[in-house]
Amino acid sequence: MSGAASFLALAGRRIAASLLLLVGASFLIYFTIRSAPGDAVDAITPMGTPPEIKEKLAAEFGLDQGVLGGYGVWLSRSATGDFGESLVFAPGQTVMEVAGPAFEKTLLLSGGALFATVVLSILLALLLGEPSARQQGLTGALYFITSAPGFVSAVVFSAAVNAGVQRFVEQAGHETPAWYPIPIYSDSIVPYFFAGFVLVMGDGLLMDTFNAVRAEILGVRGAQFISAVRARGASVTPHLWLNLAIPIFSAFVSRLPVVLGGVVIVEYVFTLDGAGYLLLEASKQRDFPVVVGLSVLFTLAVIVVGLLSDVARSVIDQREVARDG
Amino acid sequence: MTAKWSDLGLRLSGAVVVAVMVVGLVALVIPYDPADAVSYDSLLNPPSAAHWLGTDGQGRDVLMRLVKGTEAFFLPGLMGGLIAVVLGGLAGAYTGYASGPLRSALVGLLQLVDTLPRLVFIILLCTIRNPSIPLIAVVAGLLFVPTVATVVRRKVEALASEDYILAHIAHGFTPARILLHHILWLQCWPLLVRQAAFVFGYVLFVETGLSYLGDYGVQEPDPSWGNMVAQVKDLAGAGAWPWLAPAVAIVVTIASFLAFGNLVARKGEEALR
Amino acid sequence: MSAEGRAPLVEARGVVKTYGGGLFRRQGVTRALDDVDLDIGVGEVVALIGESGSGKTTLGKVLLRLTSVDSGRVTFEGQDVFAAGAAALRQMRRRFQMVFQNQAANLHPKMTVREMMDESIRLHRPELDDAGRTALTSTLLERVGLSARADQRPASLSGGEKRRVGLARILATKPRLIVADEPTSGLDAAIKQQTITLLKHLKDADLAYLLISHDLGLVRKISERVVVMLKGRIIEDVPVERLGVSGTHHPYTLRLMQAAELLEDHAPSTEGEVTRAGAAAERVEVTSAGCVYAGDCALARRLGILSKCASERPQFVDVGERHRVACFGLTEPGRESNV
Repeated sequence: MSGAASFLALAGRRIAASLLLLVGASFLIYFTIRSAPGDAVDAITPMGTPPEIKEKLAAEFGLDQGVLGGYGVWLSRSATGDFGESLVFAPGQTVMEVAGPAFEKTLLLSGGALFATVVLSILLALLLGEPSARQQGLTGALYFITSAPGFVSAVVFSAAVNAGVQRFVEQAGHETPAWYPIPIYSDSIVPYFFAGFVLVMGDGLLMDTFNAVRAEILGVRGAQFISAVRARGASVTPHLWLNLAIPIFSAFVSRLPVVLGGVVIVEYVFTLDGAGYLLLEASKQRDFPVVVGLSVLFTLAVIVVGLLSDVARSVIDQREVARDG
Repeated sequence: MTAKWSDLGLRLSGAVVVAVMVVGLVALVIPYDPADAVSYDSLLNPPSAAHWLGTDGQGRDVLMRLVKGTEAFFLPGLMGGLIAVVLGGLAGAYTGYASGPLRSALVGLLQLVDTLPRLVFIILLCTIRNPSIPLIAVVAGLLFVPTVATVVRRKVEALASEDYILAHIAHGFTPARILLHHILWLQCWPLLVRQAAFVFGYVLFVETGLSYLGDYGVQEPDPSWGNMVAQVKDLAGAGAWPWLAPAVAIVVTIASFLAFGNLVARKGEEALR
Repeated sequence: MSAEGRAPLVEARGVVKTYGGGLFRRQGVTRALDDVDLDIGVGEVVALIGESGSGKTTLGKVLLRLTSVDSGRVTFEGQDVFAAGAAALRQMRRRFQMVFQNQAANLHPKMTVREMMDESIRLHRPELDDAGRTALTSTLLERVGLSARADQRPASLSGGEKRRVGLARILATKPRLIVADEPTSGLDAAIKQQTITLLKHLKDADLAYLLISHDLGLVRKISERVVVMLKGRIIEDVPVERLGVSGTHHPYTLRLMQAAELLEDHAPSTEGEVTRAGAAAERVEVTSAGCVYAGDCALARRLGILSKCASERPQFVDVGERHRVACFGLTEPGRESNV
């Protein structure tokens, strides 16, 4: 009872701290906007923007006020999810209408890729077991391959797939698939799987996750209570996985920010219309409200992920206290 | 971890790191005019004695562009790493040792910066002001200050808990000398080497990534490993060398810098134990 | 508590130091030092004994301004330690030094013994040139018996040798007071003996020691005066020759001595058990104003003064030459049966 109460109190404190963090981080974003050289409105709008739109933007972003006052104006609007309207990318639509669905896609892609990474890491860890001299060559090579930046793996991967498909199509006389040649915009779901694969294999993610997951598995296996279960003659496996669930969840969420960084470029390479692609396109076209809205959404995602991994870690800590005491 | 493999890894990655450093320095003094290099007589040549890595779609020597392309990230990478390590080291030492409202404010600020998604923030910055790679490298270095500060702070706190700092104060050293010389310089160097190598790798990643995307990085005709890889879009399978060579160079360099940082740090920490 | 016949070196008056509390902390305030007075004379060797948590290490740190105090005053050679500015404090730090419990951990792993000596001498003897530093390094290493180890790094030194490096660095400052916190803990018997011999050997007429230890063997061998602490207060201050079951008076000191003799002689003794059994018999609310030992004190119960002990702070009573005890039991009739 008191455990649950203290857990709720802890979760409440963490949520409050996260909100504070969001306010602070959004101020850093706003401050960056205001640090633009010259007239801020000119800096953030494409050339030839009509004056009435400039005025509207200046009012929405509080550019006519001091930094703190302007931040207040902008924050009170943003807090309700109102990031303004898209200027160039999808004129007339609100930022949330444009960015919302794209962000969902990106979260799905990142989450899926990370989930696959964790599953792959668990399989690798079970397969390899304790680190040994014989594995060093293999893990070294894997480490090498997977530390490639996402866009490099994407380019190499696409070239290989394109060459393979070309040969297959020529030899067997099949029709070319809708997504050929990569990168090309298509409604097919296949490029998402390609992007997911590249995310798993790039940016050092796989080996990092693998090392963390293997350390957890070996740690729990060697723990005293597992030996006690074994001594009782009971099956160890359920205990093993029950105790691994939270550490692995923690490994999962704490790496999401890394994937969210990689996904921006990978989406662009595969022309998938997720948030990363949208961010880069909007940035190029100087669709400023969209860029800022997406920046806040990405920051929010990082903060929520941090909150989840904090709570997961505190659950682990509590259990460790309970086990030791 | 067996000594044999980690020694081999250290030697291999060390060789690459030294090679990148040497090439980076040499590239600074080699004259290169990208317009002069264009030669329509030798488009997309395969590797040969005259062009060791072949030529690209404009007949330019790939090896030469590879060498000259280091200019885009070499000094910026060193600068970013230096900024992250110096500011992060100072901030970590201060927040690990001091107490009071200034420390709390600094811890809060570091936490805020750590919350920003790095690449997204860099793109936001590129949208607002005309970006240059050095500016991006400075910002990347700043974005890594919290990471460095955290590892240094943990080290300082660990040393403080075993009376290391107090013993040195008792002996008559000033806190500044203890923190800067005894802790940061003598005890934290493995951590700092690892972080500097990591930030260098990150700057290389951002520079080549942005140059690949084409709008904010190094623009053609100036060479960058990133915009060389981007040639894949125009070649459409006509030749692999022009983009495969820089792609391999990027992977080898990033992997080597990360591995070198980790292995040197591990060795250093073993020696400190 | 004065150091008779000697010029005073350190005078601590009314030192109070608390831990915990704070604006949002829920745990109570611990009084690590509760109105403590202590004098150390020039060249005197004082031992500070008491169980862990009694505040003896904190007192040692306070004397050297290695931690802050809530109130009270400490002077060293007549100068107020806590009022000293940066320059004065730097001068002062050369004159008082501390040997830490885990001295070994404070040596830098990548520096040789000679380099570490050089660093200390540079810091504390800026007037010396290169040749002077080299000469002083050799002299000091010889004094601690480490001449042969000058070019070694800490990893190849034994625990005892690491402590001697610490001592040699400290001697470079020409200190007048060395506070040694558990200088022999964690050492095996032979090295312990070496360390004791070394501490005696290094002692000269001007150098005072404050020895923080619960090793009564060490305390007997080298100190002149023993100060007993319990829960942040000094309860007895006794010349070393009277240290023992027959010479000390405070019920807590007696219990310490009995326990020590039990260990040393392996002789069966029922007294200690009787004391403890008596302590458990009655429970009384001990206020922070009362004697810190009141809750466990068999003497107070036997004399029927427990309520007084639990609510009033006993003042020091002179019970002999240079021997003071803070205990109400000493002035009550009928105490002789216990002593």
